[in-house]
Amino acid sequence: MNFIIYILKKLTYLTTVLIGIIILMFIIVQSIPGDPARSAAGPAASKERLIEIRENLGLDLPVYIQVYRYFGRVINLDLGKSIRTKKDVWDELVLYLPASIELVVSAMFINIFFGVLIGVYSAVKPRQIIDKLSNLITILGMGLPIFWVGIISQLLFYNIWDIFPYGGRLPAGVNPPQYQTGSYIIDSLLMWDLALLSISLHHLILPAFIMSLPELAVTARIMRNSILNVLNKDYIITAKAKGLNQSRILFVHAMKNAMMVPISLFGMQTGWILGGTLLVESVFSWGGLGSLAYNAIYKRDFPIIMGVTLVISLCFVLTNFSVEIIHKYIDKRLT
Amino acid sequence: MKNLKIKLGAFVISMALTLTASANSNSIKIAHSEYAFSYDPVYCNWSDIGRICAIAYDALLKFEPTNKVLVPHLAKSYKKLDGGSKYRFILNKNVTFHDGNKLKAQDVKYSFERIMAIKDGVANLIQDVRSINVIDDHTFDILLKRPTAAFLYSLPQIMIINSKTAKKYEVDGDWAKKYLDDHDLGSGPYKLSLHLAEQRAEFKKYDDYWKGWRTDNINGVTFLWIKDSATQRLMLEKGDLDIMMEPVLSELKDLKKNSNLQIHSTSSAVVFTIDFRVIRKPLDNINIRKALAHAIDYEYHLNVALEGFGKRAKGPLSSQLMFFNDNLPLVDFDMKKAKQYLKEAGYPNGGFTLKVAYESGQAEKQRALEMIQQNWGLLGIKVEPVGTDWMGQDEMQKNKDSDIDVYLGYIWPAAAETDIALRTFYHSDYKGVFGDNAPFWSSDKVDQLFDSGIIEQNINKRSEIYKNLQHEIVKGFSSAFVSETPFVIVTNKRVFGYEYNPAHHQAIDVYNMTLSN
Repeated sequence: MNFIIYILKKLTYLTTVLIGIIILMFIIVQSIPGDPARSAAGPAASKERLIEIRENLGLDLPVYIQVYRYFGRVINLDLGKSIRTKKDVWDELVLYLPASIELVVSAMFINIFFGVLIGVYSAVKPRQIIDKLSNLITILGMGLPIFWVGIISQLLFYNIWDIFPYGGRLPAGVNPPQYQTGSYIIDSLLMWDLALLSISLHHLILPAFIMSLPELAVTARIMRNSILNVLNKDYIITAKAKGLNQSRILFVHAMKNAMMVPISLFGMQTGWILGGTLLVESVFSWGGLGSLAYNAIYKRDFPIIMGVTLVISLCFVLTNFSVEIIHKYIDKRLT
Repeated sequence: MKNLKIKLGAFVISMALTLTASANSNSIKIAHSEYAFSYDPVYCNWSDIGRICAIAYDALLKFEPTNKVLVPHLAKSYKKLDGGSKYRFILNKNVTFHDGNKLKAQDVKYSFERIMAIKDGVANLIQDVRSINVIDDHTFDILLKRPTAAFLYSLPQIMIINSKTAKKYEVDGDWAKKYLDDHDLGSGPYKLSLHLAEQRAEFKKYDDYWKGWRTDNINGVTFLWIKDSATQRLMLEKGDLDIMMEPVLSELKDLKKNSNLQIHSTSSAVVFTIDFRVIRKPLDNINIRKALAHAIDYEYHLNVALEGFGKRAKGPLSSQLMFFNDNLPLVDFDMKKAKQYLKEAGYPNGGFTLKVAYESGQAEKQRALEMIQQNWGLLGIKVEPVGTDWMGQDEMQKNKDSDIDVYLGYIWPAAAETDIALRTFYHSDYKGVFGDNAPFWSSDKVDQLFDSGIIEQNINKRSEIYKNLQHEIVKGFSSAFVSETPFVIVTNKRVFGYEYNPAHHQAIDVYNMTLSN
């Protein structure tokens, strides 16, 4: 019962956060200078046409009425139509979301796998070469702008060493797998087309790695400190005194408690990585939500901007909700 | 087990192939930053979709860039009737669409009516069309609401689509708009073979193209949508790309050194202007505007901001367009004259501040801003920059009460026709409707010239009217006309036959190009 109340409390809180984000975004988007009707009308449109478009889009109404109307539509799962392309916003999101999810999940996988691995190793063997390297990666990963790292990595891995492609999800001349989930990795696996899988993976590795880099650095440091902290606890000292072997102490006793902090972090990192798709997708020509948002911002395509924001916020909120549940599951004392 | 081994073998081989992939020999790869969100020719006026239109669709007439004249295309002939309020066209009989359907007059009627019903994109260019009357399968009349001389020049932007197939794919009276999101319905030399949203579009040559094929024609076209110009450059230098559409001007010197690349530069139909808001003090005084115009270092702009690729603009119209007035008085860079005009205006030592709006992402405008900041500063005029993007600037320009004094802008023609190019910028009807008329300047005489020019049918008289019109605009000193913005693309050495066409700004006429081996 307590668990259900806990979930309901969290859900209420997260829904409030989501509503707050939508209102805030709506106001921010509306205050960006620029006339979306002009973008929709195109060059040399007549005066009458411009006025007609403004009325159709409700741009002539006060912002609070527009927000009210927007909520009404969102409740009915209607996100409106793109001002520029006139396509349904849902259709656009469904088209682009799988590419971004593929990239984000891969980046998170790299982040968790390598971040935890490096963190644990650095904790177990502090001040040795891996620990020092991880320190360096942390500084670089957090300090360098991600788009710059992306461009430099293209220069090195594509132009000079010819190891990875410039970007894109597939090379020119190669057809994507039949659409099932929208993820080329999963769809080529479902079709059991290993050749296509290899090509898709080849295109995915570099952008996913670059995207994970800042987070990986943080994960490694947090994991290291968390493990070091737990290793100094009394119950670990007791375990050592009992003569338990090092691996058992580390992976069975220390890890469970040490993972609490990184798990909270993973929830937020997913949101940060998803937010960072805009830059990485631009550099690597990855046709996902980031690319969609990039064009929408430039063209003042408000319904698309709002749609992308909504999806990213929803992913952020849901991931954090899942993390809270996992936390509660691991540590029943949490309220 | 054996099957698994074969699959794993294929996996390894494909990895190797991917690593060594190189450009297809007779297919051209073109990179640009903006994604074509549809293959619907209603949007041919958007540069991203205009590129698609140029290869997948045909129009009734084409604009021939060398002689700046209209030439027959799908229409093998046309004649003006009823004093210019009606045009009769006769179609070529051997034209087929990509699915084999033959082109008929009904397709033209459908295409025009479709654009007029959708009321978007190029619809603005044919707002004077009243109706289309089909006479027979290959003859039809276009009736206009009024005799409009500019009408014929809009036709290169109006692409004809396959009405039979379009009707088959109409959903809820959408004029096949949804179908055209990822299909083409044209008769052009190349047909769509693969569409990947935000990634690329591949076109293959249409074997039955009505104009036929030479042995050296290019077989296929791939458009790659790559936002980052640094990535485009890397691909071009590596040989994975044939054409880079949006090079950064400051990188051209470096690219020039690469013997495998060639730079194609031409002055475009776009004119870069420094616009003075004439309704704000002290810019309401023409002598102040003259002083500011004389304090612009035009040569510096061409040589530094445009890296030597631009051309001095003489007036509001680019030399690429017909009726360009080559005899306009040129405003020279002369600080003495500038000081003299300031004195005449009652501001011998300047002593005022001008807020200048510019697109901070545009290198040309940023450099121009630095230059005027320096030169106007020498006159005692302080420049306060206001950075924005094009839509932000458009919003300010449209607003009569905006507190911005000067705008760094472009005159960007919607079609290669003088009236269409200038009307929204200088006819008083458009003041405050769009941001085009940044100076908020107008004159009765200019309005009269526009109104008589649009209905005048005699080409010599039209030429005279529009040349006078340019003269009147220049006389008003509402703007300083700085440069004809260069249109630059970089190609690798195997690309031949590229020609800039002001009617299809930023499009590439692949059909008339070749690739060497």
